[in-house]
Amino acid sequence: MSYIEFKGVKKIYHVGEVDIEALAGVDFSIDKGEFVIVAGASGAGKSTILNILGGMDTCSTGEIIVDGARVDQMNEKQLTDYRRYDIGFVFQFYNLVQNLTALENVELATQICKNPLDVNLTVEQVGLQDRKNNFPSQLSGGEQQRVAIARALAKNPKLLLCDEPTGALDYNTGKQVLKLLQDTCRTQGMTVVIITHNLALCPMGDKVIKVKNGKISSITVNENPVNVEMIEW
Amino acid sequence: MSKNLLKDTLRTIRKTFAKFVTLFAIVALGVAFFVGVSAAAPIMSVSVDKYNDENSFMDLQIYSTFGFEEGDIEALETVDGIEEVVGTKFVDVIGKYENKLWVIRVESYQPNQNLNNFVLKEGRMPKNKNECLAEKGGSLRTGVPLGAVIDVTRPENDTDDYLDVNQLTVVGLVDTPEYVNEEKGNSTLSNQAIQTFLFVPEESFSTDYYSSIIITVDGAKELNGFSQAYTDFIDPVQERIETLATTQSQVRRDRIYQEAMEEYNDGLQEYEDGKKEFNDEIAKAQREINDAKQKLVDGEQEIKDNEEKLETESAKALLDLDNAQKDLEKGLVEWKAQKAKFDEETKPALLSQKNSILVQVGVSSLDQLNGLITQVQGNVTNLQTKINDKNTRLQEIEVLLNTTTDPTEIATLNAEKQAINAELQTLQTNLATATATLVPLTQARDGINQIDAGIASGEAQLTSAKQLLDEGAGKVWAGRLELEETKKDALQKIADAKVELADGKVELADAEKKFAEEKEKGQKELDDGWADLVKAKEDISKIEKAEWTVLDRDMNYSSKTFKDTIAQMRSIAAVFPVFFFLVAALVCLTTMTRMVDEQRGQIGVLRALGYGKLACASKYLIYAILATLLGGFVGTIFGLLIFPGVVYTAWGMMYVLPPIQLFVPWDLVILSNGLFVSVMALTTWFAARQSMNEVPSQLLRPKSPPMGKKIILERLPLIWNRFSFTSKVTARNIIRYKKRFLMTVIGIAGCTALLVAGFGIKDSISTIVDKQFNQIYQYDGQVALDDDLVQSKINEVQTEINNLEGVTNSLQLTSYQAKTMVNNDEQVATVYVYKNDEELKSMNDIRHRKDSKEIILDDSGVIIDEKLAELLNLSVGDTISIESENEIIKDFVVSDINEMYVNHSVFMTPTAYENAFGIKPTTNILQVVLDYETSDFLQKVSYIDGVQSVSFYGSLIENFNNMINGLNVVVVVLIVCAGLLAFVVLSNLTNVNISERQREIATLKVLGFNRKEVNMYIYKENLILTFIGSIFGLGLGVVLHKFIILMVEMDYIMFGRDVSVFSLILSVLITMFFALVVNFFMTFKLRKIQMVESLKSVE
Ligand SMILES: Nc1ncnc2c1ncn2[C@@H]1O[C@H](COP(=O)(O)OP(=O)(O)OP(=O)(O)O)[C@@H](O)[C@H]1O
Ligand SMILES: [Mg+2]
Repeated sequence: MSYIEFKGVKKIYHVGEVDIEALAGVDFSIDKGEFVIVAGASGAGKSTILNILGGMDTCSTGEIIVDGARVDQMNEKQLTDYRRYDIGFVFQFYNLVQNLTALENVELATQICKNPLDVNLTVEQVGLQDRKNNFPSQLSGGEQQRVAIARALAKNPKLLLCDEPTGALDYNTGKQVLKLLQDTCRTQGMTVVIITHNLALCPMGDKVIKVKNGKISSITVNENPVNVEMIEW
Repeated sequence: MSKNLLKDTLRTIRKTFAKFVTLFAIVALGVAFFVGVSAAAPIMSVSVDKYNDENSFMDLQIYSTFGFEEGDIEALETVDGIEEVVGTKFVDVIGKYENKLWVIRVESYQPNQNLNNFVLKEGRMPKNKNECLAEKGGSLRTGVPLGAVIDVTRPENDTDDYLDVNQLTVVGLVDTPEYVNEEKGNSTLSNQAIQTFLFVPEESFSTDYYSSIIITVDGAKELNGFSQAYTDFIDPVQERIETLATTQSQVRRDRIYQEAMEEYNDGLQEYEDGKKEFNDEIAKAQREINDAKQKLVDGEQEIKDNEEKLETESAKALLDLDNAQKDLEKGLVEWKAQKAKFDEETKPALLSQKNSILVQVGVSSLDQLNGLITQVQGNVTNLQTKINDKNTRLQEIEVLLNTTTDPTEIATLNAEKQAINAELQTLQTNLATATATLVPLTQARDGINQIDAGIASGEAQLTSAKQLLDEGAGKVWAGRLELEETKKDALQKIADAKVELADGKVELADAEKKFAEEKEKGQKELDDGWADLVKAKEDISKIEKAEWTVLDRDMNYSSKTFKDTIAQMRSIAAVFPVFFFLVAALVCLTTMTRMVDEQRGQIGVLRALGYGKLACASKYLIYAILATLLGGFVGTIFGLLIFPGVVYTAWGMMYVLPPIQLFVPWDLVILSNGLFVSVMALTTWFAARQSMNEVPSQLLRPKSPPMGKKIILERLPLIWNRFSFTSKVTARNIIRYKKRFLMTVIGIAGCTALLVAGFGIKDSISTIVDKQFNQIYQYDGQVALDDDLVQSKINEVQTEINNLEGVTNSLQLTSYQAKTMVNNDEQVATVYVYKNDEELKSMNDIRHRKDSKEIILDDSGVIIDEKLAELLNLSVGDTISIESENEIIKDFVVSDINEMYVNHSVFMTPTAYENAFGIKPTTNILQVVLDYETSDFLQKVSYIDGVQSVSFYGSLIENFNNMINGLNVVVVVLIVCAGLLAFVVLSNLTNVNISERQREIATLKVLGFNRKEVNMYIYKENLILTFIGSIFGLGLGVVLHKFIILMVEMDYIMFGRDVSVFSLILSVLITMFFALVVNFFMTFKLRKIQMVESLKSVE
């Protein structure tokens, strides 16, 4: 059995009288330590998948298994713990706490989990040791995103989920960030799932899951993933 | 504004309904409070003014130093602008009913009087001068009950000078605009408070002058009696009356002078008469004493004489008796010799002589002789009878011869005549013989009888002589006895007389002493009388023009206090709504800022589409104004329904108020709604302005979040490093969001301040009772003594009081009401002259209010109370002018200022008094300390001779407690409002806070913070901010409290200036409690924050 498994996951939003089927039965599996790219058109349901996987949202039907645990059956408290101990999340818009320095933003996460990584080390890892006492507003977008990544990494999660981490970044910065993620996956064996619009990035993933209209249109396993540096777009 | 924009506005309202409700609520609350509390004062004034007008309550009242007469009233009726003039009489008395003593003002009314009417609540009107009307009173205090029979007295015992009755029966109960306040000011009985009033028909009074004149002014009813317009309207009339006073009072003065002179002359005459009578009586008494003295001397002499006389007389009597006895003895000897001579010589000689006579006549014994004589005498008598018969027949024959003519018969008769003549011849011869025989016989018998008689007389003589002798002896013996007896009696009599004399002497001494006393007393009375006369004369010479005092309603205790109360309500109404304004503005600002921020993208789009600034802003303006108008409408209705009624009821505990006259004060309604609308609109504009000024492209980009910054605390690693991570975050958050910090702190501070003020007012008033009557006054009451008592009498009164049950201590001192002045400011204070500091302290705790430090009284200056110092603007070392008992004004140095809450007081020593005024103070007061008060204590004290009046604090404390109860309602209203305000502010702020930080919270949730951790992350800040806010609120509250107290305070009362620590803590706790409750409700909101949605878009 895979490390992560989605079996017939559906997500239906009720907006007034209308039902919007964001996910219409999604099945896929991810192995431990895989670097997964999720791609698809806007509104296809990528974010929904990631949110459900990260315990921020619940599916309407279907089974979700992460490391043997049934995420779909978890109650609110269990979900909180799941997010707390197992998941690291990186958003398109960083979502840093503006009032905390880079270091503190990372600390904010490590404060509450069981065996966090060393905060300073993690900050160093993302290449921000010189800026660690700066506030988000004093950092560039890429730096902020790196802080967000460091915050996610420092929790030492089982699963790192990134929803369009480069969406708000320029080309080079985006590349830097992606490299950081890929390196983390490779060096620490962490399972990483990244959503992107950019199909050019597909070659860098161990596995590429394409989503279309709430369904998986294809799952491609990439035997030889490329380093992100190699990719131009 | 386009139709779609309006639609958008309405949709926004629906979407942000909670915000809309918040705005609505805060405005409703603010308007309700503003309109309600502000309307309270006009509603109070209109209600009472209507009552006053309906009952034609006087506009002006005139007092005169000499009272008024009918002429004054007539003169007043001519004054321009006067509607009605009525003279009234009144007197302050002590009424006794069921062992309770009341200080009562008895007032007269005239049956048809249309001025100061009263409202008959129960019973009926009096029908005669012995019936009266009593006070119906308020809910807490009433007057004398219906049916009560009141004994009326005056301490000076001069009730008769005023009233024609000594007993009044209550037949009806009334309310009157004259006594709206349950407190009725001071009476003329040594300034004791008037406890209740009675109305009596004018004929119950014995005075022939009016004590005051009451007046209504034409047209004054149209105006509100508590308004300036009214005062301005009344003033000219008052001036006209004052002008009239100058002429009218001279008239009255002249009459008074004349009357007084007459009275003086009468008094003088009386004095002269009295003096004469006194002198006469003294002379008479002196004479009597002299007589008595003379009598005593005489009596003494008499006793002496009697003793002497007794001596001589008894000696003489004894001598006489002895002589008599001697004479008797001599007589007895003589008698014995005579008796012997008679027995042996005289008697035998006589006996033999007798025998020889017998022998001579030839009889042997006297009896034979007597027989013989009787026989002869019988013959003689017989013959005599026969001769007489023959003579009678001869005469008969002679008669017959003369009458008859019959010759035979004449013949017979002549014959018989012849015969008889013959017989007569014989008979005559026989008679002569017999008679001759009789002579020797009778001679013999007489001789014998003579001899027998001689013997018998000799013997009788001897016997009687002997008898005389015997009698004499008896007499002498009896005489001796009698003498003895007489002497004894006389001695007794003398002894008695001596005792009597001694008694007489004692009596005389007594009489003399009494005389001396009476004389002295009489003399003193005369002297006093003379002194009175001299004084009266002086007083008369001093009679000035009667002084008319024309008083408007402001000088009527009840009316004035009510006016003050209205003013107090007005000042409260001026302070508190300001808070609501501020808070409403604050709430509006936060809400609208937040809303504008949330919708900046939309604004940007609209602007980009070509809508103008105003069009964009108008949505928010409409939003806010709509909420305000709705809130204002609801607030107005509820405010008017609740507050005036509550306030009116609350004051109803102090005042006897007529039914409330509710009306809509449109000016206030429009003012408050207008103010709120403009405040809300302005704040909204202010909130929106910044966004409106940005160019559309800028608006379309997310608003740059506030910069993170190191806070000052971080510069202190020692402290900062000790903070836990979350504390650091909290600390930084608190300081970073300056606007939120400010708003929360201001909002919360406002609420806490309101609470502090509310509790503080209560504290302030309740401390009066505790501090003044339990701490400062150590005595429980004062006994005023009659004027001019001598020291020994004062001591006597004191002993008598000390002996009463429950009394533990008492002290003599001087106390009087005095004017105190600094420059032109004047206040009336009570001067207390205590012998020394120790005595002062035995009756008072004299200390500083702030540090409770004890103050020492010495001769160098006076101690005055804080409020007096405040009113006269005095501090230690300044100079104050104070009146003496006889109204001399001298300067004193203020040596210290003490804590005192009720009335003004000046403490000084007799030395200080004497140094300033040059005279000694007179002891006129006893302060009494009680252990407990027996039910008849007051009565007992007031009946002690020499006691003028009694005032104990029990009733005063009760009054204060009533007042506090009244204010409690106001305080509760305040507290409830503050609570509601706190609630609205807190929930608004927390709401805004949460929605502002929704993204942050979602991030936390994503990171796996559990519910509690998320709550704490937010609430720690809230609670700290609330705490900081309430601490600021304490400061603000104390200031606010002080401000209100100073506004509300009256001249003669100092409210407690401090808010108790308990109230402070309570205010903070209540605020914190509200914060917790709000936070509790907000957890639901926090829980509802969806991670996915919150993080999806840019902010
Ligand atoms: N809260 C919601 N209510 C209703 N429909 C929703 C909601 N969230 C997402 N959807 C719908 O679900 C579908 C999938 O959305 P999702 O955000 O997963 O798309 P996506 O693939 O991530 O698109 P993009 O690349 O634009 O981010 C969309 O059609 C969207 O309209
Ligand atoms: Mg998406």
